[in-house]
Amino acid sequence: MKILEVKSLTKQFGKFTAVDNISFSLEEGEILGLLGPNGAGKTTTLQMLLGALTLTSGEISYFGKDLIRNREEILEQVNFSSTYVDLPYRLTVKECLTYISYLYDIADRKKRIEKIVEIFDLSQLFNKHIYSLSAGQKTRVNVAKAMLNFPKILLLDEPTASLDPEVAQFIRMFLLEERDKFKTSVLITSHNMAEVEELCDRVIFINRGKIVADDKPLHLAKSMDISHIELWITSGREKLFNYCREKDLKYQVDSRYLTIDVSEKFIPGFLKDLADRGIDYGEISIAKPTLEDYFLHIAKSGKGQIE
Amino acid sequence: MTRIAWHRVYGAMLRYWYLVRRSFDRSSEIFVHPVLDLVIWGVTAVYLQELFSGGVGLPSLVIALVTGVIFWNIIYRSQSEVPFGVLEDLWNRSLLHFFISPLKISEWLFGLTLLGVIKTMLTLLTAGIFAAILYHFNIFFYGFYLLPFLGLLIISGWWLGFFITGLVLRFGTGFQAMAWTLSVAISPFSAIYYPVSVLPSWAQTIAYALPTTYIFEGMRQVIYQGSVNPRDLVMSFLLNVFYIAATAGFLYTSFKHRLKRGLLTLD
Repeated sequence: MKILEVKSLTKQFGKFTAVDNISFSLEEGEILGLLGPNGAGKTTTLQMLLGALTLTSGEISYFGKDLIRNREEILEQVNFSSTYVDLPYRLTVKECLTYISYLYDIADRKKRIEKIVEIFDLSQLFNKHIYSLSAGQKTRVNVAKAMLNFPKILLLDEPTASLDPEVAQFIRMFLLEERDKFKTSVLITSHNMAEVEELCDRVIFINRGKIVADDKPLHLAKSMDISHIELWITSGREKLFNYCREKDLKYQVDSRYLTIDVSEKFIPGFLKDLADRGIDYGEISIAKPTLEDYFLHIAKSGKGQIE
Repeated sequence: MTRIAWHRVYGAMLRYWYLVRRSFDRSSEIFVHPVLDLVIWGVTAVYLQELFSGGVGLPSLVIALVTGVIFWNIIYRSQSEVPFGVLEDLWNRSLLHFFISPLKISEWLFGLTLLGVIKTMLTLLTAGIFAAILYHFNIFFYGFYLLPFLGLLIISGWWLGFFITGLVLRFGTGFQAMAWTLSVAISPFSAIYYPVSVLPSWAQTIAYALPTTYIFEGMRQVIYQGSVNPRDLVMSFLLNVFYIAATAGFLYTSFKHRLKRGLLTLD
């Protein structure tokens, strides 16, 4: 069941087209990653999805209803958290959660806040001012705030940025649990590709306002056909450099290790060539292509569409 | 036009009420500033009274100045709530929490203006108590006229606040100084402490285009003649209706204009 549907969404600022005729949908219980380099149009898209930015053209509908015509009804079931939107810093955590709870139609606000405090382990922070919290604590409160109204759709803009690994993992586990228990749909932007691979059922890559890919993270990573071979060369280091130049292979030197990008199907030939040329190695590891490779490819190519 | 959701209005009020409780700068606007104004202007009035002792109606000068201070503080308090609320959220980068929720701009404005009325009443109470203690002045001296005066003062504050908020939403915090200065800029034309007749003729034209002028003229009529010319109250009311409609329209179009550029990028 489609929970969110975006059709031909376009946003222009004067002559500049920030979002260019994009269409996508989000299923119930799906976690969808919205990825792309800085300035690709992700935040602009999120703002339009929240009704905080008018569309130049296109349609956004949640639960089969148009966002503009049914704004209040829809936003009652949607929430948002962003590293770039703060909570009022002179208020306490308790005050922030309380006033925001009144912006939604929540049956028992006190009980809901107590539950949120328990889930996000906020009891120690409850009476602290926002300004006195660390960046990680603020982000945790911000995500907690986004859960106040029991949203059917969560829009998250880099929710784990600035969190320590333990808390970031907690947030990821929480999102997966919410999805499993309540079929909550999540649209998430992140620059942490490992996180996206762990969390997302599907990702949309956006670049220069256009969707350049829409697929499962694994499929996109595989489409790169690049493996990273890390070698500890014991002899023939210079020969290897020459070989890489000759074959036009990208390599990186990191102290005693060398990492070479090689097409997956070329790996056996590559290893044979090393043996033939008398290049010896003490250690070898082969890493499969990741979503990060895909991301870097898009960001560097600057045009998008993978050939 | 959909109905107002009161819990959302309350939520908007609550956000700024917590701020008043939490911060000295915001609570001092209610309790400290009016008292300081009263002391400065009241002492000035008492000094003038002594200087010209024996002059006819000089005690009225104290009443006129003290009332002018109290009434002007009511306008300032009433005009501050909406723009200061927006600015506080812009400084905090927290405005978006309101507008990604089901809260409507009308509900947000309603919450802020209601809180403004409550704070205005607290200002009036504080100033009234101190005026009674310091100068033996009873704010209920104006009897029934106090009610229309108060209503008109509060509405005058609203449209000033709507105009400033419209500017901030449209042009960003570059216009934040208006929140403190606009009411000061119109104060010389509002004839707070002197009659309109002492102003030069060009300034009188501006003065009579402001609803505030009729309130202060009416105030002096009560002091010196014991009654108000109803025409002054009607003129003030009609001008207030005009200004509130115009500035609310301006604020609304500024908000829509801002939505075209995105609320997240507002600074």
